[in-house]
Parts: sequence; C-alpha cells; structure tokens
Amino acid sequence: MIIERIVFDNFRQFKGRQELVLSTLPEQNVTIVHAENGFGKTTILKGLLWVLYGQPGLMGTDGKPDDFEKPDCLVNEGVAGRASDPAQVVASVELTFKHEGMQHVLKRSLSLAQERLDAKKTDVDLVVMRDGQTHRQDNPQNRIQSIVPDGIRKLLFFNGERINYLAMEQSSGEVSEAIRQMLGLQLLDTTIQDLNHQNVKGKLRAELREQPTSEEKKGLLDLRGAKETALEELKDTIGQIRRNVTELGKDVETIDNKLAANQRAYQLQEKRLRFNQQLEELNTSRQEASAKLAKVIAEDSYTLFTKDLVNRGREIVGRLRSEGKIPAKVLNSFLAELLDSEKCICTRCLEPGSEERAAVEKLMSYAGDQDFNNAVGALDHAMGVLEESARTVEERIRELTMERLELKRQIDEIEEELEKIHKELSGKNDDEVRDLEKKRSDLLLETQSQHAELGRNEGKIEGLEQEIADLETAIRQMEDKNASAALAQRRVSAVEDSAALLEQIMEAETEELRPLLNDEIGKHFRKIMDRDFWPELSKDFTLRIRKRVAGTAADGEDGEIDAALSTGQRTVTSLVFIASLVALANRRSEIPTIVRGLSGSAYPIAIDSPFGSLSMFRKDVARYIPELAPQVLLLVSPTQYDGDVHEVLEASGRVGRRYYLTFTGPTMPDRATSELDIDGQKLQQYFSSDEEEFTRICEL
Amino acid sequence: MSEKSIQKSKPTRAQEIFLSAPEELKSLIRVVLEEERKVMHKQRRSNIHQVIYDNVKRQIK
Repeated sequence: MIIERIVFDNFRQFKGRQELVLSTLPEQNVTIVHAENGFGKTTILKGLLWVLYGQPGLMGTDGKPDDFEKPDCLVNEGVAGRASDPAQVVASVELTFKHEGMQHVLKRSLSLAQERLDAKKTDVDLVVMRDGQTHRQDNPQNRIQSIVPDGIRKLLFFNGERINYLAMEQSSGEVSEAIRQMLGLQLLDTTIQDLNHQNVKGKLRAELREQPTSEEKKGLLDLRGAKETALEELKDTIGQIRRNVTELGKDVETIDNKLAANQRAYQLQEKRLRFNQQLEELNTSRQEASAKLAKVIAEDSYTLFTKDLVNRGREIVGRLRSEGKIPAKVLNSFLAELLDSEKCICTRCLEPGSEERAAVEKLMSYAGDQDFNNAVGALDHAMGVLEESARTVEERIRELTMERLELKRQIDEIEEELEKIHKELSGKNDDEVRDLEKKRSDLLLETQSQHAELGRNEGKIEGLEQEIADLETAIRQMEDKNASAALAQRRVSAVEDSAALLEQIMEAETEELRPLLNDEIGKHFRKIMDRDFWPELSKDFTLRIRKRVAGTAADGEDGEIDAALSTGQRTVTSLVFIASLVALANRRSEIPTIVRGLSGSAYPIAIDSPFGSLSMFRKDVARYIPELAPQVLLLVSPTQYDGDVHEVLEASGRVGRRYYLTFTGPTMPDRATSELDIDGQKLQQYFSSDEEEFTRICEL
Repeated sequence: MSEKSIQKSKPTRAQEIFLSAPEELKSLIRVVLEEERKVMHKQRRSNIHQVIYDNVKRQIK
C-alpha cells in the first residue's frame, strides 16, 4: 500500500476540502507536515485511521481516544452550526492509494444527521481501478482489512511519543502478536481460537458428556470443565493486571513529563530521571551478579565440602609412602612372569612345590601393582585439583558476594536520594507539584501491588495447567465400550489435538522468523546507535538492548548484560522493530511458511510527533527516518523539527513533499507562534478570527 | 499446504510438525484452514464455528 492522496472535507477542524498529496517516489519517500501543537497534526493521523477503520480507528489500544477529544464529533463545528439541513452536511475523508499495482479510492463519510444519531455508522465506499476499468467493491471494509489488517494499524500509524511501550518487558505479548499480524500468521492464531471455542470444542465436549459413559469419566469431564473455567478466569485477571500495569506506567510517565515541564520541579525531576536510570542499571547488574553466584554455587560449590576428604586422602598416601608401598619397589607383574617361566633371575628353578617358588609367591603379597601406582598418582593429582578449585570457588563466591553487597549499597544510596527528591517535591510550595508528586507516589504503590498480584496469579496458572493436562490424559485413557461415546471422544480429541498441533506450528513459524527479524533489527539499529550496544529479540519476544561489559563473565572474560533503557532508547528500539517488521513484510513471499498464499506487502508509516521523546537520538533517528518504510509521513511541530533534524533530513534529499498547517481562530494555541520559520522563510501560520476556528493545509 | 510442495525443498520445522501428524488430523486442519481463509478478512464471522463443527463431524466418522 502506497498512499497517493488524502482529502479531508469538513472533517473536524479541516473546513471545506483540504488535501495532502504524498510523495510516492522511492528515492524521495518522505512527506512532512509542519504544524504547531493544537493546529491539527493528530487530526491528520486520526483522519487516516478513520477512513481505513471507521470509529474503532480513532481509539487507542486501550479503547480510549488518546489525544482525540470528542471522537463522536467529526463534522466541522462551524459548518455544523450553520447547517439548515443536517442530512446535507457531510464530513468525509478520501484516501487514494496503490496496492498490488491497482489504484484504490476509499471514501468514508458521515452526515451531521447520522452523527447526531450514531457517529459509529458511517458510509464507506471503495473503488478499485483494474485493467482500465473501475470496480466498486461490494464489501469495502473486508477488502481494507485484507490490505491493512486492523491488528497492524498501531504499528503503521502512531504517535511517536507513545511508541516506546513496545520495548518494555510487559509488551512481549504485543511484540509476538505484532509479528504474527504483520507477517501473516494471524490465520493460525484465529483458527486455534476457533477450534477451542465454546461452539466447537465446547459443543463436542457437551455431546461427549451426553453419551453413555462411565460415572468416573463423567466426573473427570466435569472436573476438567471446572478447572478450565477457573483457568480462563485467571487468564482474564492476569490480562487485566498487565493492562493496569501498562496504564499505570503511562500515567507515571505523563506525571514525569508534567513535572519536567514545571518551572519549580524540573531540576529535581531531571535528577530523579538520572537516578532512576542508574537504579535500573544497578538492579540489572545485581541480577546478573546473583545469577552468576547461583551458577557458581550450583556447579562448583561441592568443592568447598571436600576439605576433609582431601585431608584423609593425603594421610593415606603419606602413610603408604612412609611404609615404602608407593612407589612399589618390585611389581607383582614382574614376579608373576618369573613364576610363569618357573625360573628366577638368579637362574634358580621355581618349580611348583619348591621352596624357592614358595618364597617368590610370598613376595607377591607385598609387591605393588602398576595400576595401583597409577591410581595413587591420579588421586594425588585430583586432590591437588580439588584443593585449587576450592580456593578459586571460595574466592569467586567472596567476590560475587562483595559485588552484590556493593551494588546493594549503591542501590540503597540511590533509593535514599530518590526518597529525598520525593520528600522535597512533596513539600514544594506549589499546589500542582505537590498534587503531581502525591499522585505519582500513589501510582507507584499501586504498580507494586499489581506486580505482586501478577506473581501470585502466574503461579496458580502453572499449577492449573498441569492439573488440566493430567486430567486430559486420564480422560483419554478411559476407553469407551459404547461406539457412539468412543466416536464423540475421538472428535473431541481430534479438535484438541488439531489446536495443539497448530499451536506448535505457530510457535515454530514465529521462532523461525525470530533470527530473520533479529538480523533486520540489528541492521536497522546499527544505523542509529552505538555499536557497543545491540538489540535482541529474546526467546520470550522481549525487545532488549544488550551491552558488553568487561570481565563480568564467570571465567573472567567479557560478559553481556541487558542495558537499562531510557524513554529515548526505548522509542528508538520500538521504531527499529517496526521498521524491521515492515521490511520483512515487504519480502514475505521469500520466507518459507506453512500458510499458503502469503505475498510481500509494502506498507507506509505515518508518525505523529516522531521526534518528541528521542532526546539525544533525534539527529540519528532523523537520518534513519527515510529507511523506516517504503513511504513515510511525518507530522512534526517546529520545536521538534528545528536544528539537527531539519539539517539531516534536508541533507538526505529524501523529502519529496512538505506542507504546513495554518490555524484561524480567536486565540492562538498555547506556545504557538504566529509565524513559522522554514529554511529562513517566514510563513504566517496563525490568523486571528472571532468567527470560527479552522485549519488549512498549505503546500510548501 | 500441499505435501508435494513441502517435499520439494527442505521442510521447515513447522512443516515437519505438520507432516508428522496423523492423516486424520492433517485432513481436518486442511479443511478448517481453508474455511478460515475464506472469512479471515470479514468483520462478522458468526458462522465459522458452525462450519468448523460440521467439518469435524464430517471428517471424524
């Protein structure tokens, strides 16, 4: 999908017809819209989402409209206010795009009359030009879903200041889901869900329950049903807790941003952010040290308990030496040879029964054995090794314990500093700061409590899953004598086994995509960040940044640890992940899969405020922006764009089209200026009017 | 997901899992995936559960 044009008509603050023609040239794939905050950047992004998905497109992942107030009021207010016939006043967005070589024109409209009744019910129309012919699609929404599935919209059209959540540990579920959605494995996921659905598996199980089968089996079936219900409830609870934790994290971040913007709090807040970052790093290092300590204890700590054994061994060897038994003066193998040959080295005969032979045979009981000599030598050596290992292990345990204690001391110090900052902010002579600080503290307490609840429930889930698996085995082992009961059991088993098999297949497919994605992620990441760091999509699908730390491995070699990520680094990591998925989706047809008919798809990316939370990485990300996707639409404010970002994007030569938004209204939005300065060109962007508010799109 | 096409090149791990499944399961999965593919982009897929249920009954006799 490559977007050619977006036309807004009386949509929100876009009065009348306003259009954006996007650059479609591969070598100039970036289109920029410059606009002050409050002028309409978010409306452009939301308009794009609305035309594609209707009302659900306006909502965030949590089902709330994010920065988009009154999502049910889409018809331009001024036009709506003057309307004599509400049925004739219409808001619409029209999207023209190319997909698989065919031009598509998608238009979604909503009349004022319909908006007042139910804004969710919109008119949608899709026309496809194929072979010079125009074809109107019967089911436009289905066609759009097949081109850009709803599940990937949050990866393609998003607010750059909020995308950092993808690189958080609790987002691993969303990351693996994003991979499946973007790379076409959703079909498997949906099939598994449908097989396990109450109307399929549930219905077949109910039929089995109706069959003439033993009371014992019925009892087990009921028990399994009850356990499964409990499991589902627990999973729902866990899902809710995870959502709560994510929301709490976002709320804390919002408060942090407000504190950072407050004149009386920003210095302390900045200090807190630095301390928080250090705290994360220290905690990571402490976890690493604990893991190393656990490894040493598990693998080598036995050597510490061998002291008595070694001492006893040394005593025995010493005694044998002092008695002259080791090393042996005469070897019994030599005596055996003499007896065999019946001739001594002094030429005497050693015939059986002779005195001489009896004397040599007596010597056999004193003589040493070469194997015995060797064994004593090996024992001696092993005792030396054990003694040395015990010393090394003792030293390593002492070092690691000291390291942990030192890290703990530093953590305590930082926690004390953070507590001081909290007290200082709580006591500030500023109502806003005090309120924010109190809210922040309450949110952190609530987050801790949610984490504890999460841990408790996860433990319960593990136990329940095992119990259900055991019941499953027991039920299947109970053979049914009745033919219809046996058939019902076979059907239930077939559905359960099919779902389980598809789970395995999906896991294997996702797992096979992981190294490919890791390659892409690494390639993209190196274009932005230092080479001492590298990103990794872990086995549990958490996006991590790893870094090398000198001499931290158990053998004293360089080790690797997870780097604690700042918001900027998380944003970069999330962007890199999305870009890698888009790149992989583009060459999907080259990657083997069990799902038939997957073809490569080009996707555009539209980002509202792409440079908002990047801090020091703005310049590097700006350089990388054209590589994000085959087509990129950026909605930027002047403060985010000026300076480095402007220079880098200008120098790249990849910006195909540029627009700016003008705002007309009685008051200028906060922090906006009346003129926009682009390339030294002063452009009036605010026009005063007491009559109404509206935004215009102007091409540069 | 035809077995011929899988066997042409070295099978992936996912393909191996599928190929080693009992014939009855492979047939069931094939028909269910086919039905799912028909409705995968539809917003309303209310009938899919009945279709799968009927297919299970037809396949496992």
